Amino acid sequence: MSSSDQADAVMEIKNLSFFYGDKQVLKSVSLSLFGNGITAIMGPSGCGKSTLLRTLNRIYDLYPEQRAQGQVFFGGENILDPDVDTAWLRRRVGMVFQKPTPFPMSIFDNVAYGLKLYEKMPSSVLAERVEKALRNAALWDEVKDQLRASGQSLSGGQQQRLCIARALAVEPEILLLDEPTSALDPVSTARIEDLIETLKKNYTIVMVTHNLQQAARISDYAAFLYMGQLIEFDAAKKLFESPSHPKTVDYLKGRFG
Amino acid sequence: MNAFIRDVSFLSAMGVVVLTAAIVFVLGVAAAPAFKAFGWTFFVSDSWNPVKDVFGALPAIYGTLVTSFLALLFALPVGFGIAFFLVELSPPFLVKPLRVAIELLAGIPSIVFGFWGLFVLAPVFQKYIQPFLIDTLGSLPLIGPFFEGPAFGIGILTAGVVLAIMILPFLTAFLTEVFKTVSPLLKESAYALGATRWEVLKSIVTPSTRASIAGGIMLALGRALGETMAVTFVIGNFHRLKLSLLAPGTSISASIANEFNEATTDLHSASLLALGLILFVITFIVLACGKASVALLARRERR
Ligand SMILES: Nc1ncnc2c1ncn2[C@@H]1O[C@H](COP(=O)(O)OP(=O)(O)OP(=O)(O)O)[C@@H](O)[C@H]1O
Ligand SMILES: [Mg+2]
Repeated sequence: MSSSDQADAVMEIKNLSFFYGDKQVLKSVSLSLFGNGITAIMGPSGCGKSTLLRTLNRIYDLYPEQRAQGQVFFGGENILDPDVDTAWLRRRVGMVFQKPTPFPMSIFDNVAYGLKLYEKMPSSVLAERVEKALRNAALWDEVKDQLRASGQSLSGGQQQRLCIARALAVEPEILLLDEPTSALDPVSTARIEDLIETLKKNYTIVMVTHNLQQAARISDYAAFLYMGQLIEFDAAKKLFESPSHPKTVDYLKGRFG
Repeated sequence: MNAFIRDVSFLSAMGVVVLTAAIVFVLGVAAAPAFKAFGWTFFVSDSWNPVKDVFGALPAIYGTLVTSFLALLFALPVGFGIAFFLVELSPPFLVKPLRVAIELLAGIPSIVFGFWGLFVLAPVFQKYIQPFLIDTLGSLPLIGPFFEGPAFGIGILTAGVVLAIMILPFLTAFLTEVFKTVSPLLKESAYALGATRWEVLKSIVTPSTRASIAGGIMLALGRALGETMAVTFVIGNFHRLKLSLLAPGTSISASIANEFNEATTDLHSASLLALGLILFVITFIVLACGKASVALLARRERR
């Protein structure tokens, strides 16, 4: 990437290495995430895609034996700095997991959960924010009459959109999606892909995916990780049409992973 | 051969049922004279006088229920805290020693708890804790009568504390296993929204495991209800109903353990056996409630 592009990077990852105990799974990865676009992270199973996402909101902090090295700049700060307020970070960097994870509470409370953590607001404002998030996640019409029903009573695809709504409710800047459609049927997958495409107008999206067609269809930037190393990172069109590294070529041809 | 195994296991299963029924039957027959002599006043009378051959179960029932309830009241928050610490917070190197410590606590014979309660805990209670409670809570309206003096050291409250320590290992082990069943992905989803450990415990872990927690509480209560030795040491063995938790009292199992050898009259031993029958019924009800609440909550969770 040329240096002029770097100016509007929302997040800049520099020489990031990651360790589970003694085991190093990311090796000096450097990459920039650009605003209002979708960055697809691809690579064979076990190459460190999820690990990369998990450093960007410091969720790995929960486990004492995991640690990251290097720098990740976001909002003028190196978020790997131990002094960084993780609540601040996680409010700005939302995450959706591989399997839907509705909380054991009503649909409304699921979406309101994050909001209630950060601010006290009158219930009418809360209701508005919940509705807005559900609309943004293209779920409102399906659930507006059953907001008090349990979030776990929804279908898998609906549950995943509920999780997206829950992440959107706190109005993050970056949305991390770790194979958000891998547990879903094709129809639900298509709906979520559409949703992700509309969301990119307002959010910086990073999506891990095993599905190359999906990545090619909706991403603006694409990164190829292999055994913890970033092999190639470029505009999606360029990377898919004329990859420059032989390993990327092999991967795209389906020779491994 | 298969038929043989089937028959044997069927017979053993039936054997358990028959054995239980037989015990209840014998207990009922042996206790009958007490119910015949006192009727329903047996349950509400608090006079227990072997000399005059007059017996009432109320103090023992009260002592059993209140000590068990207190035990749960004390053990539950502590067990909850330890279990959550073990599963969520503890650095890995601490997990093992803590678990071993808790297992050791479970292995201490109940008679040792009794000794400890009598010779270590009771003096401390008499000197510091009970006077403090009497001075502060004892003069309040409504709850005052539960904390009236004098400070004996032994008594219902002390028995409740000893019982709490005794059920703590079971409760902790149970809750630890229950907390471990919550999917890490679910917890991480809450952490990823910025939730703290406490918020995750409150709004994710506990609600997802309500049914199992309710079951564990009932099982722990069942254990506390029947515990004999330790309670006998520290409860005071006093057969008059006192509302105060600081006063000595008695429990069903403590009464039986203390008096059965010296039961002078037939009515005395019948009354003790009647107490045993009542304990059986109470424990049965608690376990049944436990099962029912587990089933109910599990169904609600699945919806
Ligand atoms: N908690 C952990 N402890 C130890 N090693 C781990 C842990 N989590 C992941 N790993 C290892 O780190 C490497 C990268 O894992 P990661 O989950 O990031 O891969 P991934 O690219 O997301 O794979 P997948 O496509 O299968 O999801 C793997 O070799 C994995 O075995
Ligand atoms: Mg992964």
